[in-house]
Amino acid sequence: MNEVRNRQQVSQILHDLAETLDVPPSKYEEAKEHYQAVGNWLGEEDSELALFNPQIYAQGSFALGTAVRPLGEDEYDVDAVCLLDLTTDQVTQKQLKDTVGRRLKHPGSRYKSKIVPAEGGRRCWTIQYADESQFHLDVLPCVLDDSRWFVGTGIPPAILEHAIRLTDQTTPEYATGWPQDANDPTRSNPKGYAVWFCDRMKVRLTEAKAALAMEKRASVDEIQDYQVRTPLQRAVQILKRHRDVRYNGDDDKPISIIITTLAAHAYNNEADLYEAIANIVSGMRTYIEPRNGVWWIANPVNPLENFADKWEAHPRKAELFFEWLDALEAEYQHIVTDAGFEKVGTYLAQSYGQRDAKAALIKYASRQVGQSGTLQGAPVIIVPKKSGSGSTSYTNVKVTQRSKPWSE
Amino acid sequence: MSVDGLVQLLIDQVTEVQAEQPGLELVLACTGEMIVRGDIRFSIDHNGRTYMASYQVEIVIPPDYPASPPAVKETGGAVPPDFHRFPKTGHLCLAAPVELVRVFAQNRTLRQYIDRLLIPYLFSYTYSCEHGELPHGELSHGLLGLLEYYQEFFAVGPITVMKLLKLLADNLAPQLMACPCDSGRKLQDCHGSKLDELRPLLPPEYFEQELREMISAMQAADIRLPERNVMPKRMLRNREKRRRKKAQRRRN
Repeated sequence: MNEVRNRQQVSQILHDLAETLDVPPSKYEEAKEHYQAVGNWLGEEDSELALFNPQIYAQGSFALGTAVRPLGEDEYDVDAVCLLDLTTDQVTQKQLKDTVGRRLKHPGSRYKSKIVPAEGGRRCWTIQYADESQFHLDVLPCVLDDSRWFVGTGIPPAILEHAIRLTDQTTPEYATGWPQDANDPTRSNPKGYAVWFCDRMKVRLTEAKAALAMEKRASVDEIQDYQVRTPLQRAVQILKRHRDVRYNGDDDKPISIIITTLAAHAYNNEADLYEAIANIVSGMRTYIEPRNGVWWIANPVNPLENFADKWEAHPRKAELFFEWLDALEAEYQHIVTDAGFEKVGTYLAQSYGQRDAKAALIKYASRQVGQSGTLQGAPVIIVPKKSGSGSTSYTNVKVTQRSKPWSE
Repeated sequence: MSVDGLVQLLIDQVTEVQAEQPGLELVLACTGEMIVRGDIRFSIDHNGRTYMASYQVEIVIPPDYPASPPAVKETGGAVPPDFHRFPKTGHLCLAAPVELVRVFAQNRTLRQYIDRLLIPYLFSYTYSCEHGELPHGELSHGLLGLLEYYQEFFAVGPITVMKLLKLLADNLAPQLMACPCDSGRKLQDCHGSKLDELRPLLPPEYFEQELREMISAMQAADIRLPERNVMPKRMLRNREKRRRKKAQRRRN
């Protein structure tokens, strides 16, 4: 068995796969232009919001560098929070949301016909861009969290200073004010979460940025976080796509925030992608705690929030999650054996989709073709035999070319 | 073609071939070579009988594919070493080298290679096991076989083959010249088109090499040749030089 060599090759293939899944930098730029344009419109001099100095920034996978290209016909789903200089004493949730909505739907606004649905979502206004850009942007109005609930939670101030309150139509206080729980659905901290997430991969992030700066002969300060990827980000991208393919369309499928959080916990700044994923998939479950008969996956920047809060009412969500982890663990152990490695092409196509598996294998194989000696042991199957090829069907062939063999 | 393009092309071509040969797969071997391997199955109707067979093969893709055709091995041990194989590599000799390139050039795909070259060869072997002879005959070994191939291709005798090969070796296409086959027609109205079919397939040096070997074999057998009309021009020039040197030495 050539496990060491198989690991190296699998790492390269996974790297190619992650690159294939990744959102290209141009899309990041495009997303940024989109939400900054929204921010500018909201903050223009004649806007009723100008006084409140609207700040807009990305949250979720676009902020974390873990976004993946959509599967099939799906669109890029970019989340941006829109922070206003207001306090929860000054506005109700409804007032906050409606003020932003009014500006977006202003007669002079280029967004007025792009808000879908026109009455807004539970927490956000969704801007639907033209079809070819494959984008929609969720704008989430919010204010800073000025309550002092977090004193004594052990969360560092550098993270807590970013805590915000979002609006949520489903809270009873929506029209009248804000819920008073320390853990209610209006509390959020996307920027704090990003700080925590980056901290979990700091060694590799610094290293990757330094390497890119060197390559581009630029200073490290000129390198943006989104221009590089750490093994943690790559691992999250791969796990998310694995989830998408395995549970396509299933409402109980593992959710991204849980995958991202557990992966970041289990990541130990491994430099090697295979090692990172193998350790992550075997370590993730240790960060799911049973608390009084309920599964807990704490939000690392708000220990009162349980990301797995829906698992109690929908036990199938928990079942699927554990089943998924078992499957991943088995797959990642098998893939580096000779038998597993030989069938890596089939595995990739089954678990990550035909299109992306093919693109990843082309990248990988193109690097290896003609490089004798770099590979030892099992060959890599790029296009597997067709299933059912064990059958005994014989293709009838008409010989139009009469063979006259020759020999030297 | 870029390497990216090559891998992409192979994936597409293998996928196409799998419609008829689902037992084939594309692999990247530890040698860095791309290989199409697995089971080839066919059934062929010939003279009122159906022949069915399956063979294990390994088709090796050359780095300059599809400019050059692949090479192929039979890996199941069914085809014995003395049946039309290259002795050094063990690759199957599907056809005379020029014929191989000619047929592959009609459609540079794996499907063409398998349907028009490999399966006909394997069928010939299958047939020979039962009947003790090949269904469409076979070429002699070595140079004689090459000569036979050209004789059949041009439908002329051996000396005329060599005259025609000289035009390929010298990379000449004098369309108004009298055709070397003595038909009395101009080259362009006679064997010109056959020459034009072969010319782009291989470099002039290749034809020159084959021709030189034929010439030395014939000279060794004491066969008189119309040297001016069959020897490639480089050979003639060298011969001239040698003669002059000899004459010089004699004078001195």
